[in-house]
Amino acid sequence: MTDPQPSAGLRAVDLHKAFADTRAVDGVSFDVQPGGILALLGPSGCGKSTTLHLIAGLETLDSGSLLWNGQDLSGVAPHTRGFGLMFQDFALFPHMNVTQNIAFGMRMLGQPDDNIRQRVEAMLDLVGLTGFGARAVDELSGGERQRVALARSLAPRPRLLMLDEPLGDLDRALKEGLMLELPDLLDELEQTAIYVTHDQEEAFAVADRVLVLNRGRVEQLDTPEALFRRPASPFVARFLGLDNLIPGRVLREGSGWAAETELGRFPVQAEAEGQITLLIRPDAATLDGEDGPSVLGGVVERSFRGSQIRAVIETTSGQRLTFVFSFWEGFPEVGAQVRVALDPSRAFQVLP
Amino acid sequence: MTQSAAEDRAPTLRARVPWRRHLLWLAPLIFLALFYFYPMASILGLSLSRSPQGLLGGFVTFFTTGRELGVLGFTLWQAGLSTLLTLAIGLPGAYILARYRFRGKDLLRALTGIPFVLPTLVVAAAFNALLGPSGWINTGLMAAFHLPAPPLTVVHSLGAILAAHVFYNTTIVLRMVGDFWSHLDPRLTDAARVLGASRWRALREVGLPLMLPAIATASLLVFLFDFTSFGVILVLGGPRLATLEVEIYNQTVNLFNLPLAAALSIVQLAATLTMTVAYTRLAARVSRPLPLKAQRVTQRLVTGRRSRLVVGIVAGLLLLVLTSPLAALAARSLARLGPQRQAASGPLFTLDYYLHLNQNPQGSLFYVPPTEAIWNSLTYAGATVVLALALGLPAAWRLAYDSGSRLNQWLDPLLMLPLGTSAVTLGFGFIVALDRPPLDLRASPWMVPIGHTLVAFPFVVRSLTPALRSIQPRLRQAAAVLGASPRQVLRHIDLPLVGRAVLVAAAFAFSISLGEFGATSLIARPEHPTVPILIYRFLSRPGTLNFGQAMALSTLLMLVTGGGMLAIEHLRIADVGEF
Repeated sequence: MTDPQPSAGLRAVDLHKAFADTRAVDGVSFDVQPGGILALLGPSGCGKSTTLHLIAGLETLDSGSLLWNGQDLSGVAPHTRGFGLMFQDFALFPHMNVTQNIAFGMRMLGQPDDNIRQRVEAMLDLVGLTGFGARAVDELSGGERQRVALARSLAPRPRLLMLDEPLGDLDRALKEGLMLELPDLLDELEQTAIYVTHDQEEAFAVADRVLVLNRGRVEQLDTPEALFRRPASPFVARFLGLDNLIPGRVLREGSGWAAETELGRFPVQAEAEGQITLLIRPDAATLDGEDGPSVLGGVVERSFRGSQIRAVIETTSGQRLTFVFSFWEGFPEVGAQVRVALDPSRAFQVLP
Repeated sequence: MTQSAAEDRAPTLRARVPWRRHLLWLAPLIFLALFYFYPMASILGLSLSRSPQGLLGGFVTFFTTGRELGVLGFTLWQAGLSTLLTLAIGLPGAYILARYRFRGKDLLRALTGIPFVLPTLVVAAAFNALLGPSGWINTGLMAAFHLPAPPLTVVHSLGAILAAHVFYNTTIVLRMVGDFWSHLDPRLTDAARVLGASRWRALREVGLPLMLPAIATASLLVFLFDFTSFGVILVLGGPRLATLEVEIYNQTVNLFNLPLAAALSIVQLAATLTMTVAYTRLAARVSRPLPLKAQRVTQRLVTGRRSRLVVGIVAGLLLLVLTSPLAALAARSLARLGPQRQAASGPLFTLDYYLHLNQNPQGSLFYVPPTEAIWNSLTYAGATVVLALALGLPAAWRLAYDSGSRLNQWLDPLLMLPLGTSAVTLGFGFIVALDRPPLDLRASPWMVPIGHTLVAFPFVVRSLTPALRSIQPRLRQAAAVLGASPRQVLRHIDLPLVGRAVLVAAAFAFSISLGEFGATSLIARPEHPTVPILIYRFLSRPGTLNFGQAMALSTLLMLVTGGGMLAIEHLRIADVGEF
């Protein structure tokens, strides 16, 4: 395997876009390597869709630059960029049937009819809609529309495929099925892609790198595992469902460092003293352990999740912390007082 | 338990009440029978009757004289050309109103709505004020280059007719296409763009096909209005350019060839009814399911040089086309212009034309002072409001509550028939049918308000029905359960909710009556003219004072009807009203 050239693929440098009163995209930079899949993850209104529209050329940049294989895209019209975009609610053309929708992009390229016909059949097979070609768009179910939209954006062989919340409105069962299929499909086609979503599970399942956006700014750009292992900010931690965040102070303690909080003093990895937010990971807790760091509190919520039990503990200082325990530990009922032992090697992380 | 008991009782209630409720249809139907179907049948009878040319004489003349076929040809030609020009101005306008948010947009929208409600005679006068021999442009050129005669002869040409029609009907395109366009998801064309379609190709392949029903409906309506246009062509077309409508008037009033006029009316009626049916069919198709979006999503601010340029040019053009004639009219009514001014060289500004409205300078026996015409118009308009509401309310009530019933499915289009009949045909029908027993109304002062009511009736029904329909029966049931008697329900629930719609309907009836010219020109008695009739008389007489008085009267009428339109826009509840 050879290293791709540094300039291959898409490079976004310091993108800025403001609408009347808001900075929708505020200094966003990233690369997408050929064949790579980047997820843009963030709550609604964080600038994900605007970023896609900038890349597609549907919006113009206020400042910053977009490069494809080192070539500047400014001034290149949307229809000549060779990028595909699958819209949030699909935007299928209601006056065309399934075949006509899928064929549209290839017709625009002026491809011969025979090629188009073959490619449409191939795309229908690919997305599992063989024989659906003559259907009207409004006869399709939500999942079928989603597949047609995918086929339509893949058919002209885009250099870069962008998917804007492609599983957004689908029901849960359908969504989980497609979440497994989609990465396989994109891998198989070696399709370079940018995938926009507000759902972390979706981002982790589909992408090889994840960019977390908040109010138009980049919070973190990492592989899914690194992101989950070391969230870079309280925002990212909270967005990933890591809610045990306590204000505190880092102090030198012997040869190492400790975080001083209202719950006590915990050993941490750090580089300097100062105000921090301490993250206590919910999955690094047990009920047994005799010594080592721990928190005391009463059980206020307890929910059974199959192999896990999720519990909320309220400490004497009134802080609520969420933990996940193994089912086999036999967790006490609501109202009981417990001592939660925390694994010092992985329970604590210092966030700015 | 109680609910099922109520449901058990409901069918018997429903079965017993209808025949009494159907009595509400009585007045509107008798009115239509007497004043629409009877006159139309009389026209048909006359057209089929024996004349000097033999049996079916009118039709024989129509098909054998080149003149009459030429008139039909010209009617179609000018209507087609007017429609194309209206689309050329209206579609870019619809685009900017649909896709952009900008400062002054509400004002632009309101201003562009005014021409549509102006009386035809006011529009004709406005174009005279701008382009006529004593209009701003000609007098300006004469003064600048010391010319002895007006250099431009725009009036009495096809150009003037086309300009007036574009002025009149651009609003229809702006509203019908613009409203539809503003709810069309812009991501559909974005999707086409990303799939490799250029801006124009995306519009052609995706935008236009989706908007085609709306464009076709608007075009058909514009064509229908241009086809039946009367006042504009009578004044601006001059003696040589005649449409079917003008020809019916000429044959009736000037040549007394009633069988030919009747044949022409039947041709006109057949054409307009065909177009009306086509229009309703098409309008029903516009409502086909499309992923419509809120304007919040589809509209964007004007940013960037390109869109600023497009919005600026189109908005400027719209303003120029739609307001310059009106401004010219108002200014012309206050200005002393023309050869007399050079001789007298008095001040440019004058109130003379308004001050003379109450005088009879020549002491002429047949002269009617304009103030008297204003009084006539207001009286007729008041009577029209009363009549149209008295007939329209019961009809709208029945249409709203039994919308599914078979009777209503028959009656609904029947009530709309007068809408598809040209005003001159209606007036001609009155002349033919109502001047001899059993119904001799020749001398009756009710003749004009009845004619106006016929024209206003479909508008009144169309604006009342949706409002009545919007009151859910639940509200009435809730009020009844809370102890309200039927009369209290009517007073506290129905009337407040319908009140605005009644006001809108009344304003429609009032405006229509004030401006009506086609039917009035045939049925009003010469000694009791309305304001539009008097404007026509002033415009067809020579002299600066006559022209100035036509301008002054038109300006007054424009202010009243324009104000009425703004009131309607203001009162109309969002999305209520089926236009």
